[in-house]
Amino acid sequence: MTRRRWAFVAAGVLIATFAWLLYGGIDKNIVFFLTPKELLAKGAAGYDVPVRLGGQVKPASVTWNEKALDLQFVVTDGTGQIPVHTSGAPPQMFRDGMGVVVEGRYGHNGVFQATSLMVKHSNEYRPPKPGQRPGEMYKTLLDGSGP
Amino acid sequence: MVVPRPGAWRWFGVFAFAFLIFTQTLAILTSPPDRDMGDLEKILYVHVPAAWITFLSFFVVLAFSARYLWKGREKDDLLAAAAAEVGATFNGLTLLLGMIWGRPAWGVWWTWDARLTSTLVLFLIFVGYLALREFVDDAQRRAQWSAVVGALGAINVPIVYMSVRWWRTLHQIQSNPNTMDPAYVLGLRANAFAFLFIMIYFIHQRYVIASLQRATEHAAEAVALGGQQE
Amino acid sequence: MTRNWTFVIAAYSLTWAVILGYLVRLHRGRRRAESAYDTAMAETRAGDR
Repeated sequence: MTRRRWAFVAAGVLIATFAWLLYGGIDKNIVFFLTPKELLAKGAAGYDVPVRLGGQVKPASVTWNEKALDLQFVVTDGTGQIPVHTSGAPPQMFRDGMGVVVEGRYGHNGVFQATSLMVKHSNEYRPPKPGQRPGEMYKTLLDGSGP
Repeated sequence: MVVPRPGAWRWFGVFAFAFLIFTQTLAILTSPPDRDMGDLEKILYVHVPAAWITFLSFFVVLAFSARYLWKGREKDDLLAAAAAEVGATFNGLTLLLGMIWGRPAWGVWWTWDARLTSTLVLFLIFVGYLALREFVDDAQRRAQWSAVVGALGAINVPIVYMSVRWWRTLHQIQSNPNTMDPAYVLGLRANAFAFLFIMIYFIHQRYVIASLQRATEHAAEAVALGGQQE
Repeated sequence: MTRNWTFVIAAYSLTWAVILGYLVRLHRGRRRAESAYDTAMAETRAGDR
């Protein structure tokens, strides 16, 4: 009978999850993020609503204040670009040119205020070039601030 | 019903586990840290084989479910169920390993992108499949219903696989030998074979248990019918 | 870099915990199923006599 009770619990969790996914999960998440171009194209409707923004960290756009844990950079998709502001130490793979997805709101001041920052990895696995130590690229950014 | 008894399979099991220890050691020792994620690259050799073995197990479920629906042999039902349990185990492992990898690499344990969500849905479908088998007491009805659920559930495997190409996801698309240095390809392939052997051993063991249980039930029925053995 | 190793060790520990846990479950299940089968067969033979 305990096996049967286990099966009941499993079935309950199953139905609840599917209901949740159908109710609100799927259509909101099937387009996981908007590119800067798409968010800008939304015009007034794009401001001040919770949204995910994805693109590349524009090279040489990163400003990191490690004392205040304040991070600013520009997300670009090649066409559009949006400045992002967030606080807290970024994930270790964060660096110039890396793919990122940020969650937050696009403010009327033209800055995207992010509450969370995710780094999107490419499908490449490469050893560092000779003379380059792995992780150095993010370490220069993160020195003294990592957990 | 013929009940399998141990023999060469025991040695195959020993070999599978010894091979896994060998391939993991090989991969950990020979793979250089990745330029972006450093030593986190080592998680590749458990997460990716676990995911592949999940997909493969569910294809095994599909194959035996289809053959059960076609020929109606009890053996096929039990093999499909064994593969489903092993597949669900590796599916759960894949999800957890992905979380352990995602936290340091992406910055989050979980996010509701299409790859992660569809992998979770696949897991829930096969947990549901296993739950269904517990609910239904009549052996033939259980076999028929599970064959349908198993076959429909396996249709989700290509969806999970293609999710990273069909939709925008946080999860990256599949790597291939062109995007990976040979030092990583070798370790990944070796570990994929090790996981494959473990999967075969697990499915066989699970199938032996199920067929022993069925044979026991048949024997009990025979006793109830007046001591006549089938 | 030591922080990364924590996650790597966690991943490998989890993998082995799941694989060995399932292996133990299968071995126990098999032993139980075999003894149940042997008992049932003994009863069947007793019924034949």
